[in-house]
Amino acid sequence: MIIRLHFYYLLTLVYHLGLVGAYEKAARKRIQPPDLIPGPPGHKLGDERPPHYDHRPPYKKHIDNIPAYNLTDLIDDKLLNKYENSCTVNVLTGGFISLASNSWHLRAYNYTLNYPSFLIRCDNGSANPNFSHVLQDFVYDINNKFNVQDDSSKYIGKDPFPLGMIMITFASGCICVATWMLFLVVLLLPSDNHNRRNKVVHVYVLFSAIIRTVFLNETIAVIFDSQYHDDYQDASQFESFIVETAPYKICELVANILSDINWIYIVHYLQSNYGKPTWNWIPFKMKKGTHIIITVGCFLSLADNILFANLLWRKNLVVLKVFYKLIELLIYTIFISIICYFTWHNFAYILLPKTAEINTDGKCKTKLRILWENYHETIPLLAYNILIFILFYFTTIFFAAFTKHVRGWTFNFVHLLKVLITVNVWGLIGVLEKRELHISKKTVLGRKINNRDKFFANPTVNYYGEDLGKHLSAITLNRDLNTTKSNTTSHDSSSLVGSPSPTWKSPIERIRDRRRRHKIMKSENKFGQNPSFGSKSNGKPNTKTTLSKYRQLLRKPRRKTNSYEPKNGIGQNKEGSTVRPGADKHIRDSNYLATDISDNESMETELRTNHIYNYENSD
Amino acid sequence: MNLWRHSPEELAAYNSCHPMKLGSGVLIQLPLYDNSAVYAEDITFRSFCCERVPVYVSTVLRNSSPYRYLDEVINDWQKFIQVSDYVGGSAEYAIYAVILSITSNFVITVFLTVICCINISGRAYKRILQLLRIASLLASLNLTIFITKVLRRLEKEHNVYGVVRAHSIMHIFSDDMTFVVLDFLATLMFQFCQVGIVIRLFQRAQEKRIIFFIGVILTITANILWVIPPFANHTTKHRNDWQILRPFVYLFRIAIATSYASIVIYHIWQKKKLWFKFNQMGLLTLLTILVVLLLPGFFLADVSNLWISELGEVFNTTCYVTSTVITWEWLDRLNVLERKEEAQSILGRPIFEEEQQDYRFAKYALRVQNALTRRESQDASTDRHDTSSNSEVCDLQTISRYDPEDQISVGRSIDRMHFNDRGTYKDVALKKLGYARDKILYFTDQIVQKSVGHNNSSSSKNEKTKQRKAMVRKRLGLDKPGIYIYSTKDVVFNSDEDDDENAEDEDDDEYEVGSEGNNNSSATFTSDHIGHI
Repeated sequence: MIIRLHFYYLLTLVYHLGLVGAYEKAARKRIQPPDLIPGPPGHKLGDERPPHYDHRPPYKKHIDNIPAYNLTDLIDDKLLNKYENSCTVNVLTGGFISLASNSWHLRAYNYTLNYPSFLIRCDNGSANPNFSHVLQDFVYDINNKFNVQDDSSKYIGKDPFPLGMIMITFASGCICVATWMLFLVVLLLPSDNHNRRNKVVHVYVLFSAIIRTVFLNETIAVIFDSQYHDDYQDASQFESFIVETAPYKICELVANILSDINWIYIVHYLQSNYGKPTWNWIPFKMKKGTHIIITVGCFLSLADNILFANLLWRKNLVVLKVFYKLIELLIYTIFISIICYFTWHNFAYILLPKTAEINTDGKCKTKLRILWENYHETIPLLAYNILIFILFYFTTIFFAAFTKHVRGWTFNFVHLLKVLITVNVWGLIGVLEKRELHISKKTVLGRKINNRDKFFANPTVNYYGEDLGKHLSAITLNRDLNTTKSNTTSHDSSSLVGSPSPTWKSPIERIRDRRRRHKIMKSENKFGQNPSFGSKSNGKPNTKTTLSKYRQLLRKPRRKTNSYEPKNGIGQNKEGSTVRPGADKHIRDSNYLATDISDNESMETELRTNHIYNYENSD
Repeated sequence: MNLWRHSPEELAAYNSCHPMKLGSGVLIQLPLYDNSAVYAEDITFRSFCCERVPVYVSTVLRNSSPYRYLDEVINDWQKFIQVSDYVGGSAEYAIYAVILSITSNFVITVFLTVICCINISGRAYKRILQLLRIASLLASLNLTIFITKVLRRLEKEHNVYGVVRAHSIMHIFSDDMTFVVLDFLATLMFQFCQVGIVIRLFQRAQEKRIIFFIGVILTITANILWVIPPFANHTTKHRNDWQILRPFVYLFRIAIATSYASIVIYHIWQKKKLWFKFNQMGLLTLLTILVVLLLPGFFLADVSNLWISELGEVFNTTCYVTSTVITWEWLDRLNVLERKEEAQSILGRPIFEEEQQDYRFAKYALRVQNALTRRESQDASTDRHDTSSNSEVCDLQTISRYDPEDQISVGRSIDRMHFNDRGTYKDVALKKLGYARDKILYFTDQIVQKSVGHNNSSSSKNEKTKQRKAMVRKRLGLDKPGIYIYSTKDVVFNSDEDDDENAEDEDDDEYEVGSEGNNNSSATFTSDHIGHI
C-alpha cells in the first residue's frame, strides 16, 4: 500500500535529518587504517592522525594573515598550469586501492573507495625524481602550509541515498503508475455513480496522468540515459532540467487549478443533492447555498493559485511559502470538514438505521448488532478514507517543514494524494448512496414521499391554497425530509410542512380508495368491469393469518392491471407498464410490504415507526 | 542463476576489474581533512566489479568538471554498455529500468488490493471474495517487503562501496525464504480464486462439480511441485537433482494459465451481445481480455528473455493479481446484466434437468406459454369485454384441469419405488453404490454451491426447510382452499431472523413451493438478486 511506501520513505528522511549537522561526515563511510603515516621522512614515523575531522589543523589558526586557497585552484596553480603536458588529475571511486612507499618501510595500506578521490600523477606514474620532489612538496603544502578550503563539491561528490537518483526513479515511477491506476478506478466506478456523469473528474485525473507520463519519459531520455552512458549520478540535474523548467511549472499550476475546481464541485454536489446545512450560528443569508458556496470556493481557489504561482517562480521567499501552506491547509480543512459533516449528517439513516427492533428493544448490545449488520461492509472504505485524509496532513506539513534539505520533487506525493482524495470522495459518495438505496428498499414504501404525494395524503382534502403552491414546489425540489411525530430528528428546517398523522389512514382504507380510483379510470378507458375476486376484510389485521389476507388483497389490483393489456407477456410486465405513470407507484408500494412484524403491534403502529423518504432517482 | 535457462557465454575481459599498476602519485581523499593528501610510490587500483563486469557508480560528476575517471575505467564502461545481453550493460537492463519495473508492479498490486477490499458486492460468492482479498493482501505485503529490502540493500551498497549493483536485486527473491513463502501462499490462493471464477462462469451443478475437482487438484499439484526446488535448496545438499524438475513445473504452470485464459475468453465471446450494453462494460471486457492474456504472454516472454526471468516472480505476482481481480469485477457486472435479462423470462432463471422432478418447471412454463398464446389469439378476434372475461374463466379451467396429471405422476413414482424393492442382490448392491456416490456428490455440492454460489439444486431437505416451506405457504395463503394468486412480480420475503444465510434458505423454499403441483398456485418466483439490483 502507498501508506507503507510513505512510511518507509519518511523513516529514511528522518534518519537523514538526524544527520543533517554531520552531512559530510555521514557521506564518508570508509574503512581506514588508523596508522597511516604520510609525509617526508623528516616527520615522526609513529605519529597517528587525530580523531577529529576539522578542515583545518588546530595549530594553523595563529596564521591569520595567510589567505585561504581552494583545493582545485591550488591543484591548477601548482601542478596543472606548470606541468600541463605531464601531470594529470583523475577521479578514483567505486573500487579498492593499495598504497605503498619506500619511506614507509615496505608497509602497504588498503582502502575501499566509496567516495570519489583525486589521483594526481605525473609522467604516467613513472619514477621520475623531479616529479617526485614536486609531488612531495605539493603534499607538504596541502597538509601543512596553506589554509586549504575544499571546493571539490562543485565538481565531484556523492548524493545521499534518500535524495539520490535511485529514490527519484522510485518516486517518479510510483506516482506515474498510481495516477494511471486512479484513472482506471474512475473509469470503472459503478455506472449509477455520479462520477460517470461528471467529466470534471475525468479531465483532472487524465491530465495528471498525462503530465506525469510525459515528464517521466523526458526524465528517462534526458537524465537517465545520459547519466548511465557516462557512468555518474547527479540528482541536481533532475532539478535543473525537469523540475525548474517552465512547462513543468505551468502543468503544476493547471493541475492545482483543476483540483480546486473538483473540490468546489464536490461541495456543490453535496449541498445541492442532500439539502442545506443546518448550522444555527450561520446567518440566514448564508444558508441559500449554491451561490455562496461557489463564491467562497472561487475566492479561496484564486488565493491559493496566486500564491502557488508566485511560489513556483520565486522560491526564495520563506514568508510566501509559509503563507501558501497556511492557505492550503485552510482549504483542505474546510473541505474535509464538509465531507465529514455531510457523511455523518445526511447519511445518518445509513449509519444509524432506525428499524422496528430498536424501538422494541433498547439494549445497547442489540443496537451494536444492528449497526454491525448494516454497516460492516462500509467500514474498510471509511477507514481507508480517514487514513488518506490524515496522511495528507502529515505529508504536507512534513515536506513543507523540511524543504531546505528535500528537493522539490517530493511534493509530487502531495499532488498525488490530492488526486487520490478527489477520487476517493466520489467513490465514498457512490457507495453510501448505494447503501442508502439498498436499505431504503427495506422500508414500507421503499422511497421518500412528502405531503404533496397524492397517495400519502387524502386527495380530497386541500391542505394548502394556491398561494402556497409555489413555495411547496420549491420545498419539493429541495427534497426536504418529512417527519412524523413519533420520530425525532435533528433538523426541522421547514415548519410549513405539517405532520400527516391526523389524516393518516389505515392500509385497508387506502386499498379501498385505490380500488375506487381504478374503477373510475376503468370507466374512463371504456373497459368492462371484471368480477372482483375475494371479499372485503373486516377489521384490522392483528395476526399473521390476517397478514396473509392483507397481502392477498394487495395483489388483486395488479391482477386487474395486467388484464388491461392482455397482449403483454408475463415476463414483460416485470419491467413495469409505461402507459400509466401511477402504476409504478402501486407496484413499488406493494413490493416491499412484506416486512417482519411483531405479533404484538398492529399494522398502523408499525407503519408510523418507519421513515418515509422521497427518493425519486431510485432505479 | 538458473543454469537451465542460460548457457554461459564467454564474457569480455575488462581490465579495470583486475588490479592496475598506476605507479607513483598523490592521492587526495575527499572531503578534505587533516593529512588527506598522501604521496605513494606504488599505487594499485581495482574497480568494483560484480561477477567480473563493471558496475554503475554513485559518483556525482558535474558537467563543468575537468576531472574524469581513469582511461581504463572509461574504456571498460563504454565497452560494457555496448553488450546487448541480459548480463550486459544495455540501458534497458540498467538499474533505472529495474527500479521502474518493480515500482510499476508494486503500485498496480497495491491499487488492485485496495479496489478489491473496498468494493462492496452482493451476498453471492462471499467466500471466494474473502479468499481474493486475503490473497491480494498477501501479495501486497510480499511486494512491500521486497521493495523495502531492495531499497535497503541499494542504500547499503551506496554508502559502503559507492556503487549501484542491479544484479543484487535479482538474488533477493530467490535467496529470501520470506519472499518464497509469501509468494507461494499468494499464488496458491489466486489459483483457487481462478478456479472459483471458472466455476462461476458455468451454471449447471454438474459442470461446477467437474471444475471444482479438476481445478483444485491441478492447483495443489502445480504449487507443490513449484515449491519443492526452493525448499530443497535450503534443506539438502543435492541441489542439482531438483533443478531438473523446474522446466516441467514451468510448463505445467504455463498450461494452467493458458487454460484459464482460454476458458475466460471463450465465455467472453459467448456473451458478446452484452459487451456494449454500457460503455463501461466494453472497456472492462477489453481490459479483461488483455489482462487474462497477460499471464500466458508473460510466460512466453519469460522463456525467451532471461532478464524478465530474473524479475519473474515480481511480474508473476502482478499478473495473478490483475488477471483475478479484474476478471472478478467483469464477472460481477456481467451477472447484473444477465439477471436483468433472465428476469424477463417466464421462470426468471434458467432451469436444468437435474434440478427438477418430473419436469414440473417445464410443464409450468408450457402451461403459461399456452395460456398466453391462447389469450393473444382470442383478443385478436374479438373486442368485447364479455368475451375477454370469459377467456379468463377458460384459462382458469384450463389450469385446473392439469392438476390431476401431477397426481398421476406422483403415482408413477410410487410404482417405481415398489419395483425397486423387489430387486435381487445385485440390484441392492448397485443401490448401495449409488447411495454412496450420491452422498459424495451431495458433500461436493455443499462445498461448491454454498461457498461459490447459490444452492440451485433442491437436493437438501431437512426439518428446517420444511418449517420454512410451511411458513411461506402460510404467508401466501396457500393453506386454505379456494385461494389463487396470480402474481408475476418479484416477491421477496424477509426471514424472521436478520441473517443472510437464512434468507437464502427461504428463497429455496419459494422455488419448492412453485414447483409443487399439489398447490393451486400460478405464481412465479425470480431470483432474489433482481430485488437487489
